Amino acid sequence: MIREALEKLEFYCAIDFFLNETAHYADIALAGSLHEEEEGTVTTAEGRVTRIRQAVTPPGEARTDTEILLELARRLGAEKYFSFGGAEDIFNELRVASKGGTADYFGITYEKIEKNMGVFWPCPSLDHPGTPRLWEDRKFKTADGKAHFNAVSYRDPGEVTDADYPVILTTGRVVSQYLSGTQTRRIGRLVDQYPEPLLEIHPKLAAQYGITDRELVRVVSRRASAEFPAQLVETIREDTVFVPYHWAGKHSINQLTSGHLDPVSKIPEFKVSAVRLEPLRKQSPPPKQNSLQPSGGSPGHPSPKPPPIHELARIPKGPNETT
Amino acid sequence: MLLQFKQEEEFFMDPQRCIGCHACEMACAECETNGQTPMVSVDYVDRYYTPQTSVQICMHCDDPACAKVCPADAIQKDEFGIVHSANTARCISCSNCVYACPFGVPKKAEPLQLMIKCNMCYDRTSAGKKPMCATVCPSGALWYGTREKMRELRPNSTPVNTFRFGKQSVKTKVNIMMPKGSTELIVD
Repeated sequence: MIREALEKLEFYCAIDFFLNETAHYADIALAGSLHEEEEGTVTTAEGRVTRIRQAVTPPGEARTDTEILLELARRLGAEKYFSFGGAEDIFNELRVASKGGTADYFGITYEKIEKNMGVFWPCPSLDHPGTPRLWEDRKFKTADGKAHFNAVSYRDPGEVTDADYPVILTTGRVVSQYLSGTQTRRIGRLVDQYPEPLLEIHPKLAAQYGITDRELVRVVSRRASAEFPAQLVETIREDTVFVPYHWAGKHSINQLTSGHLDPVSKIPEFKVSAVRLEPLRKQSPPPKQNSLQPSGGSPGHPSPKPPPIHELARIPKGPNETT
Repeated sequence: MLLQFKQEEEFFMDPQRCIGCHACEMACAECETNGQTPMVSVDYVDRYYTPQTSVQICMHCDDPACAKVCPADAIQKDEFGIVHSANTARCISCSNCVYACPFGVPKKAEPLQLMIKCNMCYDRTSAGKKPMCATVCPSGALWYGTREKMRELRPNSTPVNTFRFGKQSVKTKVNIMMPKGSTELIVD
């Protein structure tokens, strides 16, 4: 569905630090920069505004996001509205823009962030210390000033299991990968921790299909199908299988998920789809290792010729890295 | 001030607090003293039954089996109780230490034909700093500091450094956190 939408776009300009799967649809891809190449602030998920400092300059023709946006403004003739000298000037505009809002940055300055090792929003004035924990004053922004629980009644997900698609598919993450994997699938040591998406399945459900550990299983939904090696674990419900979503192309489990949305929040129902399982009766080959790992060693087995010592200190390239 | 090994600070390992984030391995590798090879390992206890992970660093035994079985006398314990990685000039890559260690710590680096293992970040600890893994562990599974502070942080646990393997008892420099009042960990 997303691919169709991307293909329909009249014009799509992507800014990304690697040419990822989405950027392949772009008419123009601008080389952006990584966290380590940027100057500015990052607000963490706990609402703490932290400073980031440029440790290395972006390689080649890559630029920081600030530089890209300022240059775009200049070429579009809107330079006078974007008269920023750098990241701090932009941050100061955010302070003014967010003044009085829920996430109030007005009282946060670069100086305060550095002095206090980060400042939590809301921070409405320069003498305000920031708010590490919200609602400690128990004054909620409701009509009666009290916190409200919003009760909801259960409704079935947009797609429920039936005779044709009898198993619930849920998707999620693994610890060594981050979201689409654009960054983490390039780092050999992280890839080695969990090299490929696996189908987590309860032994009882697996037994119904005669599925064994590492057997390739085709997972079929109303949208698409994909093949994954099975991983038998007792830590999952007997009616549900799990596949992590950090991979693209034919390894992408999101090809299978439904397009139903939560009626209020509009969050997609990626956590619940109906699928059927087709065991392929062949074992998946073991994934290849990217980084050099020491082994337990064995005196009886000859080892490959040792490389020079500096070879050991080199970061191995991930499977998607281009040179 | 002369930077030196802080003898009042100790390593406390609490494997049940391990959340499997592998931050210790990454920090160990990124330090580059070991040529980007992590000297600490995180593994699932048994992924079939549980998502619980566990972590293992070198326990730095009082009477290290790895050193005792080394035919080349390549493994040495120093005055602070740190059992060092094999001396590269002496190690003959026989793997005796790999098989002898009761905790499964030393590994043979095949490309180098050498045994390498955790030396409690000797380059850091000998200058009064904490080992890399303990500085990044978000859950306190790996913790380095004074015994007094540890008692304050974990009042319901007791650090134990005696391990019993059958009839053999092994004493280590590194402590493992056990239920309050424990005196030894019986491994088998």
